[in-house]
Amino acid sequence: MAMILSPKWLQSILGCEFHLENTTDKLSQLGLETELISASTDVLYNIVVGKVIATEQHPDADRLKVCKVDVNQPEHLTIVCGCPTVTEGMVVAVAMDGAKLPGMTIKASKLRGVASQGMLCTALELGMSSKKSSLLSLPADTPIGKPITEVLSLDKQWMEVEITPNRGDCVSALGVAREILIGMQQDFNTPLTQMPCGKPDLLGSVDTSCTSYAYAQIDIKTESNPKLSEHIDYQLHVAGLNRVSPIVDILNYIMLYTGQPMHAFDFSKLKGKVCVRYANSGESIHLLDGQDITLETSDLVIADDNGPIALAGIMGGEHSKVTDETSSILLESACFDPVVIAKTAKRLGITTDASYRYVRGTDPELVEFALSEAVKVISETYETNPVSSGVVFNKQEKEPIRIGIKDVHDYLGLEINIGQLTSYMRLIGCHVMIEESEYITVEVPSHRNDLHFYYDLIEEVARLVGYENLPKSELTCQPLNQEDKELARHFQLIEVLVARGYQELYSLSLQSIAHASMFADENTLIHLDNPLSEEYAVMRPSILSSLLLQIKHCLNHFVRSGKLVEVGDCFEKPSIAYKKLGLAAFGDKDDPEDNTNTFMRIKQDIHAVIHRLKPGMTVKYQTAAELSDLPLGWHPNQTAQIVLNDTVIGYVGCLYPSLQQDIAVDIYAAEIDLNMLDKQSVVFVKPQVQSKFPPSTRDLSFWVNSSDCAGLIKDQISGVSELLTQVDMVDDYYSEQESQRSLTFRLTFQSFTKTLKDKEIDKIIENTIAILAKDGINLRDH
Amino acid sequence: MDLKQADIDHGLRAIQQAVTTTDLETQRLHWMGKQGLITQAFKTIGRLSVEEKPAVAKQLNEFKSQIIDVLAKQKELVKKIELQKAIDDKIDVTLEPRLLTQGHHHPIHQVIKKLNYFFAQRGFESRSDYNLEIEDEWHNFELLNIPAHHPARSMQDTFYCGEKILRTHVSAAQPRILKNSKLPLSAVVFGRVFRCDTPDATHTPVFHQMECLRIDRHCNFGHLKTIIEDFITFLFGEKLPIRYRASYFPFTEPSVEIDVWMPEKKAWLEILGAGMVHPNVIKNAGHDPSVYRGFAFGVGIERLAMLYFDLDDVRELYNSDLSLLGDCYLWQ
Repeated sequence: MAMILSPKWLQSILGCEFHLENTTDKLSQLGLETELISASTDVLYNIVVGKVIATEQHPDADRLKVCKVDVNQPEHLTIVCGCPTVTEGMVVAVAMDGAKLPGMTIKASKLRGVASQGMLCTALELGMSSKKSSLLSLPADTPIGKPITEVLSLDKQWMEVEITPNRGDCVSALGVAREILIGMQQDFNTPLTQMPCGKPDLLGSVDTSCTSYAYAQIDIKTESNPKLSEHIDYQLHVAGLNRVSPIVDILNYIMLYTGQPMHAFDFSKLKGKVCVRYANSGESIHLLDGQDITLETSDLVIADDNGPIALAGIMGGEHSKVTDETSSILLESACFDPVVIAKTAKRLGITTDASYRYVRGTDPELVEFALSEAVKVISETYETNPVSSGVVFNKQEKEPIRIGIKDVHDYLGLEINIGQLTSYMRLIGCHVMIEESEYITVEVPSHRNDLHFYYDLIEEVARLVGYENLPKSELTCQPLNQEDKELARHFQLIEVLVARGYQELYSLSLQSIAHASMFADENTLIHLDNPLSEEYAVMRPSILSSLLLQIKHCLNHFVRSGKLVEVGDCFEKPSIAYKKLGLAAFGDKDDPEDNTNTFMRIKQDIHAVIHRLKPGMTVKYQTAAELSDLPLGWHPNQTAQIVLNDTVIGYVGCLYPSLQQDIAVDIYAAEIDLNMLDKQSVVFVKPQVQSKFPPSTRDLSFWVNSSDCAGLIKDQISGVSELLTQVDMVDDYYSEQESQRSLTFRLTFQSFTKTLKDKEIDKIIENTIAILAKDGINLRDH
Repeated sequence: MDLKQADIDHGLRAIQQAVTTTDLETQRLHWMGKQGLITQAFKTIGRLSVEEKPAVAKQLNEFKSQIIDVLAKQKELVKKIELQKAIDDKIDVTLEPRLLTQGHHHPIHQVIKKLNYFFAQRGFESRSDYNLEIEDEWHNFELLNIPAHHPARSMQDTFYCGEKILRTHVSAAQPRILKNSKLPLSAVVFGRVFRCDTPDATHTPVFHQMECLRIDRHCNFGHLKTIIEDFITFLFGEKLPIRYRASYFPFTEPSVEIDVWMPEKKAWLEILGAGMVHPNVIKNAGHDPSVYRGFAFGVGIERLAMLYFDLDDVRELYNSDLSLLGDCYLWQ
């Protein structure tokens, strides 16, 4: 979370000015990533201090007044004003003709017939507040005619500070101010004055998970018509905090200032003593935001005799909340165990400004100071009666830390002497307890709950010295003796396919259930418990599913052909992760020049891939014996299993027709399970020289049955003789006349030892015909 | 048959008129083939008397050598003519071809390859063996010193799936690699990570990271600085100003973020997060943190890809925009 602060406020806390850019850079280097952003008051232009000389009723509008305003110019301005609080003698901010305010420009114009030469401004209009209010009233001695930007000390820029989760102590103006001082190499010496708290008479038992609990009980006069100071109003506006009620706004301001979250109870609604305890099972609480919460025994609560009145560190209860009628309040300023608050906040899914700070850890010793500040502001805002207050501490003693200059050297490679180490530790507020020649033992300040061990302090040394000032050390490396097989495989696969015209893609691994379940049974998908949206609800079951989405994206962008490849993890129960390669080629059905979309072409690509990874291995294609052997998404009659060593390693073919119904292009795809491919062992084949003897070829045509597979017939023919070096199917035609399919194969014969004679070839052909005839495949004689 | 010198002279002229290899071959066969006039004439010698033979044979040999001689000369000539013809054969070479679909490596692939090259050169081994996209909280958080209720858990919004989670950072591979390796160790891991970020110009719920890890007996922040500064020079091809900012990661201490000055954009750009491996991480993996120390750093692959290819929207990397992806070259 980023916190936005006014630099002017930080300067007033520190009691000194600082250079904005330098300080921003320094804070960033120290670990509080800070940026300057433009303040809402930055645009103010041509707005001056003016004094209302006279007011009279607008002739045509009941709610408008016509004012004469002195802006220290020869003539008084006439300005029509809608605010009922405008009175003669009031000193106000006047936006003149051409003035600029946040979100508007002022032009002289007629309002219901009366010419108005500008506008009288409210704090909201000036960008100094986020709450609607009446006219900003300036002190009577403000010099008339001066630009408003000179009179009010307004920020041109604000500081947006990003706080890392370890630095709970910095989620406040005070905390950031402390870091600014550290950046200036100065100790924080502004004394935190606080009122003395008395005995905790109003408190019952306080559980040890509450490290400190301070309270103040104040009676306020409800008719005192409280108005927050412009300073508080402005700080809440800068921080972007919502305005609730004067008391809550004040406590929010104190939290912004000190980092200490506070709560106010309506004291008259409480019964008996207030205690801090874990909830009893079966207890419940109705929270401020309207939620009813059933409490668990791990939830820390603030309770009175009637039960829980607040969820400790997270939110108060509705019953005892402060209202306009409240005349007696009990302020709480406490410190709780971060883990206890985190558990409850997480279980309930509630994050508040208070819980945000408690989860990061607040300073147990800050409770009284924050309480004093709150009481001070409240008594400045309301008419109050004397206060009664009390405090309880359940302090846990912090172990002192021993750190040596050798430790610093081991981690940072930095040589410093013990004196430097000591001063660094003092700079961050450590109390030095024991000094040895090369070691010191320190106690860390109560607000630094992130420092426990010596290496935590080494980090402090590093950031104080500045990482850019740490020495560099030579890095000696042994040469690599092995490669990452998986990464290398990825590179090899893509290399082959890119050379064959494929575009490599990376797809998001998340898909909608509707889409993914077209490729795998919904029950086997990996569902996310907290998906971003329906579109990203499950892990992808296959690369094919990703590629189909990508093809649709192409078609939506008028790209009608392409070859796509992706390698990545796919997920399906029970084995969870599968590494897969997916290819898809798509193109227009009737583009004669584009033949990317043929089945044989994608098979050639598969061969190229397998040859690269498993050289010399024979790839076979077979139809699935059972339909269930095919994964979802594939066409039942136009998909082959890719077989290596009798193992199915993937699929090639067309998409299931329903997936392609709205798509006007042909898609051929293939998917290979890379783990299965990896497992296939390559048999070493001795390289063979070419034959010196001439080959001869013969063509044979057969009538085949509808159930016969060309691939199998080809294999059968190839197996007839060793002299058959190549068998190619050269024709596949269906005779309407015979109602039968005919295949023609070209057989190539070649010997390594002699020129083959016709007789020898004839004999092999006879054999071939005889073998096929046994399966009812007969030679076509015409 | 009687061959006269006149026949031969006539024949020689015919040979000299042959200007193609085919014509010349016809002429050769006419005289010298199996049925050729010379061949046939020689066959008649056997029928002659002993007295006639020498003179006729001498005459025939004379004719034969004349024919062979001219054939050979003409062959040379025909070759020259045909060569010149081939040379003179002209085509219009200016038209562009109809382009075949061109393939390309994806930008993410290109960046990973580039990074892998750099680290392999320096002895950092790429490890994919413990690279799990679906992880458990134990490896993704606990072993990396991020306890269950630590606010740092919400730094990275996690996707849950039952007992498991989608890893939020490649650092999740660290404990597995550390536990299963002998020290010292120098490794890099590339992989996909997942965070609950609604896609926008700078976020996708799925993205890639590289993690670099080194553990050794003598390892300090100075070693980290050396490799990081080399790395950044390698990434940008020149030595650019570097800014270190103190930061916080639960699994490193001290932790820093490193910005590089982009001269063209005139701005600091956050490039990577780094630090000394937290002693708890080393201890959790079963090693002794008082003996071994280490450094680790991580970098977002997409961020580098966007930088290299000057992309404005990270989502472009995950769409099949073939025209855009085809324009991204790093290695070619």
